[in-house]
Amino acid sequence: MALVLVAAAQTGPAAAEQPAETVQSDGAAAVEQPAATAQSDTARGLAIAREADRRDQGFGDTTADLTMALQLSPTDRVIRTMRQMVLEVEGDGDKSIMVFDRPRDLKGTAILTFSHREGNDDQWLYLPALKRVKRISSADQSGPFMGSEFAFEDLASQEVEKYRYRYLRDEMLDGEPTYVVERIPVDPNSGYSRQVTWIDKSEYRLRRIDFYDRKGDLLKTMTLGGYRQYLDRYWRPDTMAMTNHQSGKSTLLRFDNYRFRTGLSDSDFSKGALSRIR
Amino acid sequence: MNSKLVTAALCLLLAPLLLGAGAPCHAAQADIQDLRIGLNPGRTRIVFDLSGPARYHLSSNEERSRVTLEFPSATPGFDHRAVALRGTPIARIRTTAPPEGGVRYIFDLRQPVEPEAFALKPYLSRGHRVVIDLHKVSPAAADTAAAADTGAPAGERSRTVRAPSAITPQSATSIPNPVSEGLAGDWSGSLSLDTRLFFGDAAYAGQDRQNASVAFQPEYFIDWDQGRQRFAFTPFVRYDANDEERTHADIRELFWRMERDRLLLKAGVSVVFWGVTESQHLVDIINQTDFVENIDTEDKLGQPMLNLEYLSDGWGTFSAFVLPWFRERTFPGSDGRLRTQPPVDTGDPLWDSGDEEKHIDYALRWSHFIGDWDFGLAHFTGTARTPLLIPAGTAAKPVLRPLYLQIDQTSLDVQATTGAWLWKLEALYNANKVEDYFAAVGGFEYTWFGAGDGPADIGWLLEYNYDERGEGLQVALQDDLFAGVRLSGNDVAGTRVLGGLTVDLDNGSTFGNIEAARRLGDSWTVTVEVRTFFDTDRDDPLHFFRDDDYIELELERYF
Repeated sequence: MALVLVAAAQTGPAAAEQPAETVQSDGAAAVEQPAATAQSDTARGLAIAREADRRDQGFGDTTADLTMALQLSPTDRVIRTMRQMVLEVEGDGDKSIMVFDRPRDLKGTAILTFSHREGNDDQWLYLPALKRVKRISSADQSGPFMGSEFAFEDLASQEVEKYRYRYLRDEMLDGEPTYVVERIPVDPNSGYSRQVTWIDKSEYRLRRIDFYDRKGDLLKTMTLGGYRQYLDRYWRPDTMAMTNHQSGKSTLLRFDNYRFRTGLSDSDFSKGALSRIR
Repeated sequence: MNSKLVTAALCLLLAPLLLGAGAPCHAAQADIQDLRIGLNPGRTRIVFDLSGPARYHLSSNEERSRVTLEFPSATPGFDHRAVALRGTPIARIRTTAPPEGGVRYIFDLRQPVEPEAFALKPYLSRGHRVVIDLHKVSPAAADTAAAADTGAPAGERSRTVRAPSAITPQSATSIPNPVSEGLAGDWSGSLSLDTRLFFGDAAYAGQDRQNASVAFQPEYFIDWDQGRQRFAFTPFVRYDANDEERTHADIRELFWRMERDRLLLKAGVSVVFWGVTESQHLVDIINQTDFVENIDTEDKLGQPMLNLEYLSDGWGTFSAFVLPWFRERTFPGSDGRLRTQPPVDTGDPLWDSGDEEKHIDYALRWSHFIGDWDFGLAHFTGTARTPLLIPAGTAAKPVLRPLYLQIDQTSLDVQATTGAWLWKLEALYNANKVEDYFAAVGGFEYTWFGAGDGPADIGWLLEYNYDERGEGLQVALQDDLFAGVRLSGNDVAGTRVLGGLTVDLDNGSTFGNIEAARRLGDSWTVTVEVRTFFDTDRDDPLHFFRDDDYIELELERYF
């Protein structure tokens, strides 16, 4: 369930159970209602998540280059670079491949993920030194990704079904009106007790997430910025900045060279294809 | 003939002579041969075709309605007025000649854009290029940039992604772009230095207590045909201070590969891995083991092959191999540690087949996964990769001669991945003219994620190895239990440790193994390996290594 960063920024690409038109009208209706009861807050939170999800459907496939800057101390910064390919899968989570370029000892190492709306994802790791493809456990994604402030689960495909939602309030964030929605991971192995998300009203883009650890304390804040629109529809951030409030460390993830509908297909996301990427 | 071309050609020829003499042949004397414009979703791409590398500088006005690309010392060799602009956001292209030389292209735009420029090296039919991407801008995106900057860690705020007035070539080209049309050949590789320090005196004459060795493995590959064809070359060479057999070279990879739809064809030398278990790689048979490298049998010699693979729709992958040349296993020489007594004489093998190493081997494999289950079913017919070792030579100079049998081997490998548990099984049946046998290895790996609420994962491994042939010097793992611990630090240094004991349940011979590695900076790793052999029984192959306990330190530089 790792590494579908594209989707992470968009609250998930998967289709909801209902046809898109229905979701849209439900969503619109729910969003306009004043929050009166706990139940309506829940419905409203879910409606916002579904609307964000609906707006990201149909992107087909994307590729992007990722640069991760790990700020370990004010003077010590470490760079990681990766490449990512994502294939949208109708009716389920996305398929994705992440290939590492730096650090150099990991060059060619790659992870293939079939994410699922429910249950664990399927995940394989390719080790270029042994030419070995290994199925790995995706049961717990709360650990740090490459020593960064991002956990594997922060980078995973964010399917609507993976959280329970509650609308909290409207708020101005950096001069932009946003919905503030709390979401609670369904996965009992998640490293978070809850997340608070800021989603802009204009385009339903995820703008900020506060992560609370298992004890309920504020752990990290992720800010998404530099959104650009592709194919006149799909918004993608250029940066995801993660700050760990408890350790004081931070990681900046930058995306370059986004491409859409590049012609990727199922066969590009197989175990065999994983070993051939390089 | 174009006089500039002549000048360029002369410069190429004379450049080495003119260097240091204030040569006029600056790389800058490139011709701008053409300008192409392509429309892509969300951006417009302008490509300058150049006769050689050229410096350039990109800038735009504050409204982002005009973009200027300056070549300080290149000359235009085409008419920019002929470039079609219909359907593009470009209203007009103008050129000016700056007083200090070169040429400046000015693009007047119908709408604001975010420009980005980068250089591409020659690739296939294309030569040197400079590309400007004009990204579409929306007002919302500009607002978001401000939000992003407030949240960015210190030191990252000056990033020039948003509406830069000038992107330097360096900043734009420092980011690798794997899918760009400009992807040319890729060189990488590693150089390693290692030393093995043995705890005890050598058992056999000629062996030393310490050893040093250096290895070099460059890797090259180039893709073309939109990534559907690849050529790859990976040579390997090692120099060993003590053991002349361990001083060796090999071609790990030298192949051409083509993909078409769901079919894949590979011809040449390559390495293929099959299997799932950790204590041994039982069903892995395509490649011969490079045994002088390491007794863990994970280093492989390149295998010449013709490989056809088909990825079916819903039925997994079918792979067929024709293996036209057999590679003999490497063994340590008489001066090397971790060897048999007497040593193996690799110069004089025995063959079951009259074709010897020219025997053509074949293999078929079907692999698939269904839900939590990954499995592979394979058959191999041909020369066994693991030789029997036959006592020979004279009384004064005894040797072991490797005997390579013809075998028919059917194998199965399965892994079930359920939660934090990996259940693994490899099994095979081997038919040959000496003794048919069944062998298997199976067990589990359980991972305790975030052990002790820290970032690290700890894995517990248990595997049982069985071989029907039973105890004897030919079979190391016939009734052996492996128990191990794996630590994955999940830290910046990528710390990883694997430790384990393999105990022979028949005779108590025990092999202890610790491998630990971590990264130093971006390009170095340090690896420590400790191997011990104790309570070895006279009838167990481990007995050969009874005095060879060692620690190895390896420093590896990747480039």
